[in-house]
Amino acid sequence: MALARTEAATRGLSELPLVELPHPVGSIPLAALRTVACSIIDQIVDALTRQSAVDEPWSANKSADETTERVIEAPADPALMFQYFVNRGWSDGLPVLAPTEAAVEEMIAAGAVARDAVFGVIPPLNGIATAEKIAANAVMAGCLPEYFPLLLAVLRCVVRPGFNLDGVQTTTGNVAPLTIVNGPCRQRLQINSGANALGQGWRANATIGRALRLVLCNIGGAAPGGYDKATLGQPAKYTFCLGENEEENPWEPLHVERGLEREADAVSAFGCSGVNSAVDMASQTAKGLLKTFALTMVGGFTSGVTSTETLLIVCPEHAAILAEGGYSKAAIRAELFELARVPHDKISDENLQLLANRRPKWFRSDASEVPVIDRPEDLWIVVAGGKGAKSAYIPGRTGTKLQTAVVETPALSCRC
Amino acid sequence: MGKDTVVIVTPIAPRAVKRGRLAARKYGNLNGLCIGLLDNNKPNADRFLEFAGELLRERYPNLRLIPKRKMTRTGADGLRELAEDCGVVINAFGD
Repeated sequence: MALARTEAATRGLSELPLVELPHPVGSIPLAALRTVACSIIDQIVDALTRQSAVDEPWSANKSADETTERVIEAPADPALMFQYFVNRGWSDGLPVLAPTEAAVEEMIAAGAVARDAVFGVIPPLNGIATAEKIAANAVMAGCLPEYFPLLLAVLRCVVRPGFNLDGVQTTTGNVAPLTIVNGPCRQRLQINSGANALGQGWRANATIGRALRLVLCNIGGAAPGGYDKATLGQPAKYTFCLGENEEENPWEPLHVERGLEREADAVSAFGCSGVNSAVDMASQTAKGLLKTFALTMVGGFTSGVTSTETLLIVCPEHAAILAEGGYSKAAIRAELFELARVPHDKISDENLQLLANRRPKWFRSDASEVPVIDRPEDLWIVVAGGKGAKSAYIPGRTGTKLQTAVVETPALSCRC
Repeated sequence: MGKDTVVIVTPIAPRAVKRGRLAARKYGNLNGLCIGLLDNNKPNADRFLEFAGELLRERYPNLRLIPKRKMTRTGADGLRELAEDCGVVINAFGD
């Protein structure tokens, strides 16, 4: 109920009449659902006919346990300061660096932006993401100032309507924003696009992804277990950032596909669920490899979802096999669209009914299977990783579309 | 600032607050009204609205019900029709 009230209030409708149903309602039998309807029908009638506003309108501004003071005093001792941040819900559970005024100022200067420049409003609480507040979170995450222009570009991506940040922030799904970096800044900032690109050990990857998470929680107010309703979450909610391995990419890189110059620095943001490994050390042909990728996509098929954009991260060895087989990105997409399908008889009756409502074109009289994606163009392809025959498939979040922005980097002396 | 403390920039931010106004709820009872049933495509939302519609009709036989479905969070076909034709709308649900 709190999230519903907040959603209404952030749209200026704090008095919207709401009726609370006992959870769950989406997964209960129809007889039980009718009982629920019977039990609350009086409340529905009351909500529809109540003449006056509630006595004391709930306000999104009201919050007894949060400060919006610009600066405060915190313990100087690192361990005490960490606990101070944890107690206020300002940490992701890991230690943070002190966002001192000097450190924040250095971060802002690296972006060559005004302290009060606004880069968006972050749901669900509609926190105003100024350069200063983004910088404070970047410092806490451990970002170098040189990363700040890139982080600002990611912010520009996630606040676009097409990213559906409302949904990403509050869904019960296990969704995290993935940042994909293209262009020369990968070398300049030492962003890993090779071995273990999605793994640990690289400051830029780790802290840029982490800074985005802190911004979403601290400025947006998506506290886990609060307005962040994720049922399970996933480790990528701590950090999720990689570079594209353009040097071993036989096709055009993502940012070029998105209409930018090859020499441009760019980031793309993708709201997605977990990483599904596409392991194939045996196939030597493109046809064989695509069968494996299709199996992985089917394995990542989540019943009940609408069709989403999806992402295939192809490792260089797999990319070479596909390219040698004459496959363009378009040909890969077309083939996987055909191959990655789930037979109706493999899906539960209840989910079949749900899917028939949501994706009716795959349930016409002669249909016997559902493709993982509705259209070939719903599959994004990037190349990343080091040696080995391990690619990955990542389903996107419903209603979320990949967004790309240029990294606007002022002239800097890089310290990394 | 004492030696045991340090001044930090808070990582949280003021909120942008919109001010809106709900349409006046001008009906003391629902008899004879047209009621919109807006299903947001969550599992069971359509069924719940069907049940709610049936229950309302038992109380107010002269109701007219207009079921609609919105497939995405932000957009819905037929919203204008709901706004023009319906006295009230029930939207289900935020599961």
